[in-house]
Amino acid sequence: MPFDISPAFAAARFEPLLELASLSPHHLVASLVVLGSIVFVNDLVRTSLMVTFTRSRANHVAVMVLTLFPAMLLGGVLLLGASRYPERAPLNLVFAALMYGVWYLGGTLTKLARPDTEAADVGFIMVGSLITIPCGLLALVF
Amino acid sequence: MRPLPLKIFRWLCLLTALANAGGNAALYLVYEPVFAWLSVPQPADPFAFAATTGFSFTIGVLAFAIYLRPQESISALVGCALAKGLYAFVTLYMFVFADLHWFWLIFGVWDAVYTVIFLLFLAQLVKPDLTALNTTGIRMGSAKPRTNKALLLGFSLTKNVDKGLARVSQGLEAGGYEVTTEMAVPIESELFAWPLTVARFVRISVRAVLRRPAKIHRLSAKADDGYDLIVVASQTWLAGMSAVVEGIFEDPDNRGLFEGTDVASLTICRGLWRRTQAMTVDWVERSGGHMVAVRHALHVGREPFRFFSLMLYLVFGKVTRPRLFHRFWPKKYGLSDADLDELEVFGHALAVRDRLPPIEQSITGGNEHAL
Repeated sequence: MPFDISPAFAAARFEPLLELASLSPHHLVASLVVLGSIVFVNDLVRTSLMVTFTRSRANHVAVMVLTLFPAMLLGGVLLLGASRYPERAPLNLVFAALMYGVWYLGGTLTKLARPDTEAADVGFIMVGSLITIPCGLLALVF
Repeated sequence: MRPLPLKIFRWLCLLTALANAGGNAALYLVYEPVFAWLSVPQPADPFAFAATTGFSFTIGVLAFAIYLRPQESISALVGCALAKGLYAFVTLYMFVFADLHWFWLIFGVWDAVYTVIFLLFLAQLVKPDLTALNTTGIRMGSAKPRTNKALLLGFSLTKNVDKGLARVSQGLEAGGYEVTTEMAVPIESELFAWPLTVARFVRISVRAVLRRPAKIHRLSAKADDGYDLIVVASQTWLAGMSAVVEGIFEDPDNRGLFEGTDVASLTICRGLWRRTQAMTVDWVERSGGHMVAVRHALHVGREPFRFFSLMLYLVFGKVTRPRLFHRFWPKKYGLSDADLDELEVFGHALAVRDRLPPIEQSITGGNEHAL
């Protein structure tokens, strides 16, 4: 074969991304920057999508997903982090909590764009915690 | 927090246009001595370096196009936000895993900041008419002759919209209007009945996410009833218009009601009102209506207790206040008295709205002149 397409090759390509997604102690700052950036811009994207393509089912599903995406992402990160670095599960919970602050900031920042925005929806952010916290608790018993 | 004016965003676009286009052109010309001076390793692949600077130069050109005509550059704005976000991520990735020199992080940080700036600008530019409707008072009505007859349309599962529309009606009547209120009746009346069961709540929620429409019985209101104003009230079901209210617009027989008529949109909900309002306005405009006002009224209470209070109300059919959060829990369901008073004021303001001057035939025959 002129090039390697083995599972080992594929796994090697994704390994750095998995490291970032699992709050690895070797690349913690980078992990937090990437995670925080995604959580931060989530509501900026959602704000635009909320008032566009009003008849599109796909867009509506996208808006619903983005409403809780940070919570699902953080839950996944906690579980992945616990599977790779179980001793760091309690500390990762603290980082996830900090990300909730970033999520709130991202929503609030939409007020810089236009006055007619809901800003951060604390109700749904709290619903998100009902997704993240169970994942975090599961991560603790991994 | 006050919104940044359009000109600030435009100037920021110009700044990055100069930095990207001018900066990369200059960098490509002098990178060898500059990198040597800063102890930055020379590019291992000159072609890849040229391609990267060329790509970045192009983003600068796009940013300049956005600066020139922002409202016509939505697609370019999306592309630039995506490009800058990806570049910022790749820069960080290479710094962490491929020993990229710290010098390149400067560009990565710049692009990360501009990803946010472009996304904010995009949020400002999409549907500016909604911002205008939300920040101005009642718009001038159409030139259609006034009959002082108003039609209030909606659907009320928990009687919340009922109360809101009743107050709007009082305001309109105080302003001299004759008001007819008609609530849409869904054909699937067992599904959309109050109180809900958990199963029906889940079913309605899933349908709301997937935007499955709900057919309604034919409205008794007709186009030739002579309404000069229609107020459409909708609640929010999973971020969008309720299916029953949307059913009013999905029935083509109702289009005549809205054609050329002044329409006001009222969204009554817990907290997510923007998409419902945008959907209502879109439907009204597609039906030929003339939007004169939008309003939204939110349930009483503070988050997150307001959200959970709503969920418990929908499940149990009554106000349920857990003893643990007694101090913070909303004392009632629905709109506050102050909001209901405000809706009455809104109704009165609609009744006395200005009107565009009618077009009148000139006496010389054939030519039309506005007064």
